[in-house]
Amino acid sequence: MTDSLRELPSCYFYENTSIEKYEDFIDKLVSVADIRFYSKGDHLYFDTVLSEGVFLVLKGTIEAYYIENEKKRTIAMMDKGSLMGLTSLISRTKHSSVCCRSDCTVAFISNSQISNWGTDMLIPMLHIQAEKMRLVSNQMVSLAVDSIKKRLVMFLHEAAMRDLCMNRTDLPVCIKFSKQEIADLINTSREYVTATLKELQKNCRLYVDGNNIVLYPCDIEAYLQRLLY
Amino acid sequence: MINDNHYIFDDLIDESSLLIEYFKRNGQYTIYLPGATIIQQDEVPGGLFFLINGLVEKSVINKDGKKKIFSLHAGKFLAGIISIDGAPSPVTYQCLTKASFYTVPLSTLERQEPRFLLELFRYCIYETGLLQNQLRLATVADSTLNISQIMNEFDMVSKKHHIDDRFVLTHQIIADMIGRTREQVSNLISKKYRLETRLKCREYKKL
Repeated sequence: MTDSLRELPSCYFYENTSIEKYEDFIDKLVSVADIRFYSKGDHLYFDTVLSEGVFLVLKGTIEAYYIENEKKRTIAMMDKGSLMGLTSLISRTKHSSVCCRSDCTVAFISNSQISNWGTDMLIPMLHIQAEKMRLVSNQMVSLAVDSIKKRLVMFLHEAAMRDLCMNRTDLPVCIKFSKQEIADLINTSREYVTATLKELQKNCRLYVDGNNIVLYPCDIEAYLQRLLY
Repeated sequence: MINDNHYIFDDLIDESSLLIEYFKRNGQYTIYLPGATIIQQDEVPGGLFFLINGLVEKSVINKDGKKKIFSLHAGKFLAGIISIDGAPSPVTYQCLTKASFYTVPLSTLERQEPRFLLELFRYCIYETGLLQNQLRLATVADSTLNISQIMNEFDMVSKKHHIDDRFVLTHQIIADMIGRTREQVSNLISKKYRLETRLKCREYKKL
């Protein structure tokens, strides 16, 4: 991977990218947390209900969405290292409902436990939250500054990089997203996503079969590079 | 869901007297003139900046060198929290009017009491929620509604915080905030006024 691509801010996955940095914090948290297992399709919480604690994703991918005009809109994807349900700490209901896209393992910590934490736990929590704020900020920046095509390629790149085989970008990756989900995440229409994916097929090795998108990360990287510079 | 204002963030710290007290006790009081940059994009801020009064813009310079304004901040607000972990700031904070701050260096954070850090964490969550609201509005809401909301918020905040009359909310600023072009905003605003005038005329005729 080129250096310029490494510097690309992630926008569409709320992931604590530097989970190793917080190893001590996660060890301490897991030692006191309630470890819960969820199956694909299970909900961790709904946006209308005030939850009693915070969730840390240990394994699996989780989707945040809300319903507007009876339509589901996906707003973010989260994987290991993501903290969720934090609004319960300020006694507010959630922004979104959260549902498992795969089988997940999650650590649950109650609000009362967090209230008794010391500096050693609160400082890393603050740092993780700052990373999340930067991700939301990057999403805002991307929305205002980048073209829809660039946002789509950035999304495909980000999704593919999470699922690399043997850490190699020259091996194909299969990502599972409906065109509507991609459209919601990058803020465009389903039709535009379909048309742009067809256009991408002319420039990259990319195959679309229903919700399965098979692509070569190295091709997407090279295409993104061309779009960027 | 957090239903507070979305584009002009004001008095976010009002709920937490602990934060206010802390900054007043430990912060260095500084007054900045209009145009002064508090935090520069891609640079690590020296500390947390607690805004007491004045109007501050949050913006990004993109690769073409164009500035995009994302939000305006007035009243009690904390700038620099996005880089509390020592990462470079993705945004620039600049004063639009004369503004006063209490500044606290980041290096002193680890010596603080847990109850203060918990308050700071709660503030972080609250501001993230507002950012998420802003993002959601930009992606789903009708632009005309967003424009009305920004204009109403601005009127309210200007009165509340006695914002200098010389600062004008331009169509370009509104366009940046809702992710549209200046021309689109101008068109929508003139359509809105035309409609309002027509409605007023109709009411007048009825009378």
